[in-house]
Amino acid sequence: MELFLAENISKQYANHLALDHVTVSVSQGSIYGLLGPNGAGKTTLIRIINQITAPDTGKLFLKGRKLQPSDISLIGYLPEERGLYKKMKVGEQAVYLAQLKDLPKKEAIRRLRIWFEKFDILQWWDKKVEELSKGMQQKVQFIITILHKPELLIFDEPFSGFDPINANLIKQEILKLKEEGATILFSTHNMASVEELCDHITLINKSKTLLQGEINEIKQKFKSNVFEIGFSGQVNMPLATLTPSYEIIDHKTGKNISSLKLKLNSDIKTNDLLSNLIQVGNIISFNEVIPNMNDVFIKVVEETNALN
Amino acid sequence: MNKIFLIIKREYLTRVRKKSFLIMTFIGPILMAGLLIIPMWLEKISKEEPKTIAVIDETKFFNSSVLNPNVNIKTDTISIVFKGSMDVLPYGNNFSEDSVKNIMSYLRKFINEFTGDGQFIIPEKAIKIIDRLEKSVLSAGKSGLPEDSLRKVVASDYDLALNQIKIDCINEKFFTRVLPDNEYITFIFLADANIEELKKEVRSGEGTFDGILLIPKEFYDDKSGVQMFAHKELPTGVTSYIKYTLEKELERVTLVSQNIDINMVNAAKCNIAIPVVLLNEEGEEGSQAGLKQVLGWLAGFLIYIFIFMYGVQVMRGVIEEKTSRIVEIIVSSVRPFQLMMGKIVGIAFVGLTQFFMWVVLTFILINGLQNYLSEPAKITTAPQKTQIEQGLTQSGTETQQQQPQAEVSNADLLSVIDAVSNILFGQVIFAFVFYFLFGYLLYAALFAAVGSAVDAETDTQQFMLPITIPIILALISVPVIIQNPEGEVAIWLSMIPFTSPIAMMARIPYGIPWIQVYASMVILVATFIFVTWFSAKIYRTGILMYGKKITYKELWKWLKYKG
Repeated sequence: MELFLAENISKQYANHLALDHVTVSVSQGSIYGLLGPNGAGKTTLIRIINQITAPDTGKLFLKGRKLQPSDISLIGYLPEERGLYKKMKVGEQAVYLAQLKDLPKKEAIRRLRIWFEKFDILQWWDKKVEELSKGMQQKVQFIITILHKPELLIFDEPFSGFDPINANLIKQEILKLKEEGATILFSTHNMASVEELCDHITLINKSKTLLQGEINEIKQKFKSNVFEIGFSGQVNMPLATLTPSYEIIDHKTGKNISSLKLKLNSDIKTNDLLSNLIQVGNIISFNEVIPNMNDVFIKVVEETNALN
Repeated sequence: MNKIFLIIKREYLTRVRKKSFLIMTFIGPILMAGLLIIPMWLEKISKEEPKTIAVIDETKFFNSSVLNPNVNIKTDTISIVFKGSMDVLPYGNNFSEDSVKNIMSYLRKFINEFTGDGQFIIPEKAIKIIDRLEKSVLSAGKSGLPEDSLRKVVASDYDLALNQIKIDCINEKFFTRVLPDNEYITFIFLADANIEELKKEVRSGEGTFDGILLIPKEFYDDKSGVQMFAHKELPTGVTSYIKYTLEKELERVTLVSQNIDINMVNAAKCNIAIPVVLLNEEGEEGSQAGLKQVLGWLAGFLIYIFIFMYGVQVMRGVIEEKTSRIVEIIVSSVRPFQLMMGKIVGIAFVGLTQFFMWVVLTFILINGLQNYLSEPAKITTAPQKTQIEQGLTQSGTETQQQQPQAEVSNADLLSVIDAVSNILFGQVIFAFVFYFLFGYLLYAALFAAVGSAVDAETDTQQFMLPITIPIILALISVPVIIQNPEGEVAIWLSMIPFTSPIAMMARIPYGIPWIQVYASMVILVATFIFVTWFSAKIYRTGILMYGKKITYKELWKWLKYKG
């Protein structure tokens, strides 16, 4: 079921077009990745979803109806450029920000105490924000984002500023939120975390949508008939090179294990390839190479940049 | 609405709880009270250090007692009039209470006129003496004594009264030394002192004198040659007092030598006041031009300070939110306009709190200090000045620094309050509160827009200039406006909303047409709404724009973005 839809969004700034007819559809309970190089228009789209700015054209829907100003209490937003009032006490500030999200004060304090305990920062409740390390401030911001149990969570670069341990902690929390039924829109440059977390992605470059869909389908789409074959023992390499039906990209010959990476010409079937390769050596593995998101990202963005 | 209240509360509480707020709240009144009290205090200090001046008077004249030159008096006249009145007293069958009372009231009238304008202590004393005389004459008349005994009793009563008047009143007050002492200076006349030895004493700095005044023998002829010697610099009050007294004396001697009656010259001198009475439908009232000036200045200046102090706080608050990067978190919960207005209103309350505290604390401080200092201050206001001093203050400007400046007795204060209430007080207060708030609101929105367009306070200058110029222009135009409150400059400046809060407050005490005030208020409110709308557009875009040097051209483009 679709929780959120941004349809045909365009936004024009004075000197450039920030978004050009971008459509994003996020289904309930999924994690949706919003990818793109710097300046692609991701933050503009996120700000439009948060109703911080208005689109020039296009419509926004939440749970099937038009997005209302009052819907901000259903959305939790962790911006990329984030901070806190430095001179204000941590607890007081968290309560204030929760109240701005329509949480009653008592309930806000109750939930905050639970979360602060969970993240082991309860002893900082009465300290000023400027006394906290950057990582701790990030934790506070994360708690504030999710405290009012929003149905749609928007994270813009959530892992920046965290050490690996805390980044993992946040990652686990995000997955837990997903299990509990939250829908997450997630913008990042970190392709490893995209692969780990996201179900769907949209890749934007220069205000246009380049790529959209289920992450596995996209990766399938970008595979290029490359296979990797493992052999035990040494390999008769000259023999392997004789066959014209494939092209060897890479090969490694070791004492115990050798490997071959090759690109298949499109008219050859994998079974034929295998029967050819049996003569080369003793096959122990045969895998199709599927590109990771990093490769996809670079390939797609560079291609479009070259076109312009 | 609930959220804007939360923002106002936060803005207010975080500022009011700051140490700097507390410090400012307490230092402000101390500074203000200081400005008012220091003159009084200085006066007290200077009074505690009277100067002793040794006088070597070779003319031998300045130490003599003379009739006070400023008082027209002939003691003999008193005796003659008294004796005359005694002679016309009716005796025997003609004696009646009414006739005695008539004669006595004539005597009182004479004494009053005789001593001039009746502002001295003499008539009061003398009239009491006459009251007593009246009583004793009446009781003697009713006693039924034979006529010649009655005459003797009345004559002795008259003698007693006349002597009392001469001793108690005339001798005490009507005679003075040519060079009299005053509150600050005591003169010690040394008849045959050795000038060189005195100088030695002064030079060492350990002498009993603060200075030596040398009046040479030829002073009356040359009109020069007077010298003073002192170890340390003498207060200008001392030298100017001596200078003034000597000049007066020379003037007197010159007049006498020309056979000019000094009384005539004194009578020719005059000091007149021209009160302006304002006539209007509600009757007539006294003009308080001075007070109106002060009111206009004070109101304008307070508004100026309020706009600047708290306008800049709004700007700083916006910059703080921007640089700490919290702004995007907040505007995902509230509209940027709510955040901006919450900040502006919250800071307005901070300002009002601080002003209120300042007024209360200043009042308490001044009251307390005044009580502490009032003892010496009152002496100077009591009517015990010697006549010569009275003469000095009336005609001599040079000696004014010797006169206490804080001579505000209760009666003076009452008259000020009375005058203030005459100047349409309610309307002035209403207008002040109105211009105070809307002036601030108008500028605070602009300050917020400036804060949103920059990354740090150091970048604000190019945008601050066009904001500060109209406020400063308004303030420096206040003297022009006060001079001619109905003039073209005054009217224009009080209509232009960016100058009207200050300019109109300078005009209002003069009682200008209310249609103009209402017009100016409507323009101000309309401009406030427009400027806030305009600022909100810039603000909305600016707060999310980081690391970019913003130009005016850029701001113009922001106005067209869809919010």
